[in-house]
Amino acid sequence: MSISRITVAALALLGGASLLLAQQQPGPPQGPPGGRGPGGGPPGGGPPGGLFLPPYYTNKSAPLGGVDTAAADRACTTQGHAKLVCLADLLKKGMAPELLARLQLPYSVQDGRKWSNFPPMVYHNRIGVTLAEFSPTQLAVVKAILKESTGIAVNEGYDEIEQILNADDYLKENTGQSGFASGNFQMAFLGTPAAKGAWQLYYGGHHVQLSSTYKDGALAGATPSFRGVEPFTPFKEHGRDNAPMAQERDAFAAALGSLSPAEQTKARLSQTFTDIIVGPQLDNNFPSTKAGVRAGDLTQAQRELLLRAIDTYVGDIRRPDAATILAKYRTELADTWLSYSGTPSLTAENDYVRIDGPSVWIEFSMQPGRTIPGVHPHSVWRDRSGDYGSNK
Amino acid sequence: MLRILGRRATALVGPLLAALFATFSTPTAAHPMPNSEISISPGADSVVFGIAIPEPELRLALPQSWGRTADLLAEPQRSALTQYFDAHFSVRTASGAAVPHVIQSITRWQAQNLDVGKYEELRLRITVPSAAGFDAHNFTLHYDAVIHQVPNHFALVYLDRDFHTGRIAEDKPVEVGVIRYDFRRDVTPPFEVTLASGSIWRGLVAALSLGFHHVLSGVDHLLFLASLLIVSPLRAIERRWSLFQGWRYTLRRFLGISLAFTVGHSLSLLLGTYELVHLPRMLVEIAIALSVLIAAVHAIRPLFSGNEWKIAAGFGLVHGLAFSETLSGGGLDPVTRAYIVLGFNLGVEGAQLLAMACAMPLLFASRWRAFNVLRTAAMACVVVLALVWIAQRAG
Repeated sequence: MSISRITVAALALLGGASLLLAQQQPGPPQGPPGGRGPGGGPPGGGPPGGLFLPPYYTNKSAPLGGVDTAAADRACTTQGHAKLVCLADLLKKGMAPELLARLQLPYSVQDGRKWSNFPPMVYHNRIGVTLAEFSPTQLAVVKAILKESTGIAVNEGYDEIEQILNADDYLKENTGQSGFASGNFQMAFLGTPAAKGAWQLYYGGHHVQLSSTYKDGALAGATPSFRGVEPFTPFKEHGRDNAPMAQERDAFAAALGSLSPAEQTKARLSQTFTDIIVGPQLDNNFPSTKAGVRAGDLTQAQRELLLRAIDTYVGDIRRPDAATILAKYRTELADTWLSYSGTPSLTAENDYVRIDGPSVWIEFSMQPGRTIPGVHPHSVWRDRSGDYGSNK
Repeated sequence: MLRILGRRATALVGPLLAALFATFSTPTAAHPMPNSEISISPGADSVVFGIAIPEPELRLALPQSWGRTADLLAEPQRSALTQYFDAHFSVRTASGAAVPHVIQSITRWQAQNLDVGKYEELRLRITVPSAAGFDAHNFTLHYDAVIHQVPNHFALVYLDRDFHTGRIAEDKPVEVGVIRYDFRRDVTPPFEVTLASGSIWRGLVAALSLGFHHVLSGVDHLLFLASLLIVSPLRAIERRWSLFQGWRYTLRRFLGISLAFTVGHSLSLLLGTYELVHLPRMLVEIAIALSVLIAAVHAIRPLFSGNEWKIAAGFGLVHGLAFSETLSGGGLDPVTRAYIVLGFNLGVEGAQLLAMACAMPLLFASRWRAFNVLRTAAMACVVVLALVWIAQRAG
């Protein structure tokens, strides 16, 4: 028996076993140690880079535009906070315990801080139930809750939220990247919605965060409130035109454009901003000194333009609540400062504008397109003393 | 067919070794970030810093504004860049005395991030050599590159390699803090580095244990050696392997092959650890699988009888490069690297001796004819395994 025949026989007999063994070999070693990748996000934002998505991110589409809230509205006929409590009870009724455990959480500012501008593949710490996990009936109640808390102004409040959702489906369709999807946005109640006590409505996802805190039936704080959108240029999605943040940019550009050359020079910050500074997990990162031009030194017309810009954020909550907050900001307007970096038209990357008052804080940062070409904004409305309903 | 494969494989060795020494070191880590990252690798009394900065953000912060296409690594930009980092990087002792630093290299790297996709990143290697009163585990880092001008930018600080606490392998860098602009005080505060100091012995033990386990868990290293050693009692007669040729013959060949392998991998381990030689990881891994294949084929039918030690030495060089992969990549000062190579090599030899001591008595079996069949069958399995490895590692 020649060696080659033995070899062939051995190959036939043992080849399979070798293959099995080979499967268990480490093969080429893994890449060398990369730094952990918070991706500009918060340290502790989740496991190292790579596409890790917790299972409740199903990447399904759950657009709210076509959802009919009539049944929810018939079930809860009150208004304002009372309606929110009624809708929250309606949503929780008969809900699967597993979902309910993630929807209804104890009141905690700690959990309220778990928001981000990033999509879920970059930031994994959000709380709540994803839109895709709700049944069609439940999704209608979710929409009714958003509408009741954020109001029905065109391109503001609920309408803005709906368009930012549509933007994620647009990104998903145009990039195929998993993580983008309207169904991946989340809602949670921190504390039980009730006539007495404190609770926070949490709604968040890629480029959006709604954090409305209620105390004994009244709105105690509507911040932090984050809005961004990509694409920024108008786009068609789910049968409608979407440009949710055009009027924000227009309002800022109008306020900056109304400044005289001397005022513009004064309003211009020497530093460059590639993002907002009081972003997610950076609560209270406010500068101690205000910069730019003081509204008290501006004309009445200029001050109105500034207030109009503020209203594009305050107007993201239902009108009666917004009116109360706006009235407060109006009384503090003289001590509210306006500053910018880059160009005052806010059309190019690294263009940045900031409104900094005794209470109000709004910043808007135009950034390079991340996923598709062009620019896209990040912005946040905060209240120096009222974030998370002034709770710690 | 096997012989053709064997010849081809042997013919590959020469060019491969030539390529080995022709290629020079390039960094291999990928840092996902639009922020900056600073890795700290303390040595006995010096520190190596690795700093990675996304180039688009850096351009915003440089005092001069060059066009987007101006190469920052070409003159006069490069000199300006060096000046910029000298102004925005400094190290002080705990008592506040300034310690000189040396910018050793500035290179460009293609980085990728989930959020921003691909982008260019500049990497600096800065060393702080030993200086009076300087404690490599306790100092203050004054760093505000990019951050002074782009205050939303921040730098994550990591502990990378630290021989004295046994962090010598591919340990994941540990985050030790963040350098971030303080808007309340309008400054970038200095960063206090306070690390556990450890000892040389802890580092040596860690290096030794790493080398030991690396060999014992690296089936490919062991199979290569085993395939060469299994024919040490045999002699090639008319292109066939003989039976046992006596203890003296066996022992001489056994030790010769082992020694040649040790010399080969020690040399390239040294070169690789000092980053004098670098081959793409995939190529090294494929070459190792190839070495297993050649050795196993040779153990079935002699291809280079009497010259096993040359193959052992030649491919030893390649195996050593794979060993150095586990050690290189981090910034370590030359003295610390020498300690690591020493400890690691002692571990490798220890494991090798242990494996050989276990295998030696088995060679006694080559007195019997059945040994030939068993050897051929076993080596055929190794051939298949090596082929699978080659396919896997190339794919």
